[in-house]
Amino acid sequence: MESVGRPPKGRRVERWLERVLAASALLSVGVTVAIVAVLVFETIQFFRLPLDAADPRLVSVRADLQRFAEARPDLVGRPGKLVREFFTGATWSPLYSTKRFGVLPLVAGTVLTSAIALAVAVPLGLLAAVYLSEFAPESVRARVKPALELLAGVPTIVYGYFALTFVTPFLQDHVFGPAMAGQNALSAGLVMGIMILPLVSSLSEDVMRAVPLDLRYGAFALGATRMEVAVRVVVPAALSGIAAACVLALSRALGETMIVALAAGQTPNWTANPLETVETITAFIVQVSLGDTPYGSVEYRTLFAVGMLLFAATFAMNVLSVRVVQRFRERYL
Amino acid sequence: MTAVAVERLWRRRLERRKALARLFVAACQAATLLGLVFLAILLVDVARDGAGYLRPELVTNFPSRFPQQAGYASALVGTLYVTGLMGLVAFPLGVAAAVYLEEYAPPGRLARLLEVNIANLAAVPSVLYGLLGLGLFVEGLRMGKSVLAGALTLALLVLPLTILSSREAIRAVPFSVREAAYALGATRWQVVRHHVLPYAAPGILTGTILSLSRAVGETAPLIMLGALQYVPFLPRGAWDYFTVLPIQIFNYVSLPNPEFHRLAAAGILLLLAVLLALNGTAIWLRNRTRIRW
Repeated sequence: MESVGRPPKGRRVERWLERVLAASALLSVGVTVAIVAVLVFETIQFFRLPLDAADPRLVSVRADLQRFAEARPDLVGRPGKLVREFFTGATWSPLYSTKRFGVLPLVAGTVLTSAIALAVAVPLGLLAAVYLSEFAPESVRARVKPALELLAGVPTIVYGYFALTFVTPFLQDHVFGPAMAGQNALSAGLVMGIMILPLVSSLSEDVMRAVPLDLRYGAFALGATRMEVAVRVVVPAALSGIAAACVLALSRALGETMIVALAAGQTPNWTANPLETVETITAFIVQVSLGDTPYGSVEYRTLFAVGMLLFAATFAMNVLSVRVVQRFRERYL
Repeated sequence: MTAVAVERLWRRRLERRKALARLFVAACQAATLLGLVFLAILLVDVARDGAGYLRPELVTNFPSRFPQQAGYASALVGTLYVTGLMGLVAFPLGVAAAVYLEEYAPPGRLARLLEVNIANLAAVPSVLYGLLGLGLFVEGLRMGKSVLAGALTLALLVLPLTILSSREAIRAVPFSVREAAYALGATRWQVVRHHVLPYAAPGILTGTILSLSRAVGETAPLIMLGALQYVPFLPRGAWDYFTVLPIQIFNYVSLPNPEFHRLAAAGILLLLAVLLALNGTAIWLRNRTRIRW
């Protein structure tokens, strides 16, 4: 019989435990909210710089605002102009006395290194996935797959060291000569591509193995070769998962930090030449953090503005990868 | 065209298709091999660069302007300290969240929201966790650039991984175990506490150690928290300044003197040894305590 009034003690404890567990699960939502809140709040502070610099009380006590107002009198009191400059300007120099806030060079550096990484990781990763899923004997697969995944477990600082002290000198000596800068987009991109290779190969292999054997039998029965079965039957059937894997790999490349900070350089450069030094969004964040950045200073605020941009880009990639799977998944009964 | 001619044409094309297939299989093999060869070159290169500095002073000396006297004492202790503190935070939270999602959460919009959210969090670049830590812990909660702020930031970073791996382990416990316990009148918490968790424990531990090892190699978020500095002492409390192995390595790689690069390579070997020890423990634990249902 159900008791009326206070439930027995045991059940009350149970209820409290459930609440504690639920709170722990909800904390993860809190983390997301906190990330977005911190980024949005500080990004607004960044775009408010012109207003703060127009406030004589603030400027009189804040040396960095003073320097901002002296370097960019045209921006003082005009936040709309800063927004326009941020999104369309081709010069990024908030750390120098010129104080230009066009983020495009950082975007270009990020896109360039990520594109090189994808150009390495997607073809190699797909071929490796096809090999592991279609051709490799089970004993080879059982050993090679974890070994390949080791690549993803190596700390990125190690890749950065390798790109800077081995890959770049190697390419300088044997391929490009002095045309290649000591820090360049190509070495960083190549090494980053190897780093994200297991991401592409493992996820793609999983979806390829999920393609039913019947499809392969059908193709072989029609006289297809092993390559034709792999390329014309298995890959198209697994395409949604493969596309999602590539998008996730891109997201990883965009957010990768230590490799590009060490090997690609810390000079914003509006260029598409992979042999030149470029700076990515993440490398800029590292560069600023290396110096002294007092809370609320101009440099401190730029950190969060470019961070917000990076968050928006990677978030869009992650949403896209989920959408791709939902929209284009092939269903087998 | 006669039948014979058609057959001849077909045969020629078949030979071509077969040759192409052989080439393709070889290309697939080569691509797979390339990744492994790259890994091997990387390890050999680092080992060759760093071998000269593998000496006791590597772990007993503090950072110095002179490569011959410099070591990783404060970085090694800092890594152990930060990782340990992080584990204390991330482990209970991750397991609790996983238990809730697997055993309690009613299927529906909330469970779906939590799941999507955790997947998204796992894909947020680590450098952004650094910005979160800087804005929330260092400035917002006034923790300063301390061991505690670093540990909490890394705890948030590995939380999604801990939740995901703990859920896997809990899901692997067969449903019949729960049904038997419920049939004997156990409450939900009793089922979790006395049946699900003990069976899932090895898997949960293994997963947690693996996510800890992810944090050991993380550099970017901690740079934002000011861990890149000259730390000539061992951190003694949660409020002390600190540095960690990857950051000390980054510091040495950034210096122009090539001797420091070799010292950095030795530091990488040290870092890889720590990671190997962690992963080895996880694998050993898994093999020793694996339950076959």
